[in-house]
Amino acid sequence: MERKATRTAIVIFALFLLLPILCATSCHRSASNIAIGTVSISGDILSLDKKIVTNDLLLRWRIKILDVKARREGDFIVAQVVLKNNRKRSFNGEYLFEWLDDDGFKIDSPVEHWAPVVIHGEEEKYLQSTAPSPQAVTFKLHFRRPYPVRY
Amino acid sequence: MKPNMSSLSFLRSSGILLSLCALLIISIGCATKVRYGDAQQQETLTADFGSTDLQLIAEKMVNSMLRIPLFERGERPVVFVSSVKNKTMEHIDTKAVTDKIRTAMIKSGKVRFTATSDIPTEILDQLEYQRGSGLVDPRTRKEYGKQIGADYILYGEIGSIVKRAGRRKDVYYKITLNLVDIQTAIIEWADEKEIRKTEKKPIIGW
Repeated sequence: MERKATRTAIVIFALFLLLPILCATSCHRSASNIAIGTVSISGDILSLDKKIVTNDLLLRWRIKILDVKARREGDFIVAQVVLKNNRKRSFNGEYLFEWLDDDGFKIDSPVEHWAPVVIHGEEEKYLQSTAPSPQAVTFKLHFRRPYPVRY
Repeated sequence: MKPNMSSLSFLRSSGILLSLCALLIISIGCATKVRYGDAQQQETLTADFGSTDLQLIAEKMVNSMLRIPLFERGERPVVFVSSVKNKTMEHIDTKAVTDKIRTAMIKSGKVRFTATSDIPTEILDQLEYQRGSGLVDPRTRKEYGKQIGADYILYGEIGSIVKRAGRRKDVYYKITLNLVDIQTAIIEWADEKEIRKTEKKPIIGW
């Protein structure tokens, strides 16, 4: 009896310890998972080098970066990233597209911002962005849990 | 029973310490806090039109406008930005929306914008000053009749539907922008952005 009570106490204590850790990892993280695409064009052929960087493992289990695509429309590259909600419940997240030139310098865009997005259960969400300038060849889609301005 | 001196001094020092702590807590609580934030972050203070809505609209419109085949000919057409009518019940600075779109489009290098939509009298005043004051070097004086006529007009409107039920509020915004060929009066491009926001007030509070 005494051993059982001790075990229960340990479990409760562990849960109390885990609770703030779980909260810290899921509620207030501003780290994002990133889909990176670098486009190289030779003549009419466009090739895309893709890479996915995971900074939030829990988020990756929930929302998967399913596909990264790019195509040329006129002088501009148009990027598309597909996200898939692996769960049945809706997920509120936010994303930001960044664009870089051939030398890896960031192209400043006045319309760059964290945009809210709702991905319903099992839904695939298509996020698109047009390069802000014809010099932009690399795009980075940052996806994270909502991290609004704190008051 | 008489309390001894050491316990009296302990109580006194504890009292002072507690008072200092209380004072510190009060002073921290009352201090005005100012800090810089990230202008690109989501703003969710209320369901009213805010910076994130402005950014969402501008991003959608710029992404769409950059893909207009008209702008791919390399002619860099000139656009006159007309007003965006505000049909909502809120005060919305619609010029901030068009300014953001205009800045992004100028930076793309595909389009030019005429300033006559913003500062027509200032331009005219400056021309008159250069021509009439006698103070400006004739070699650098600008001529009348050299302004470039706009090829297109950008105009639009923003509307909203607001519904309330108890502590809940649902706001739906829709903004439409159109690009009209001045020569032919044909709408060459149009796009819209919809935004839905919900607000739930707490049981206690405002």
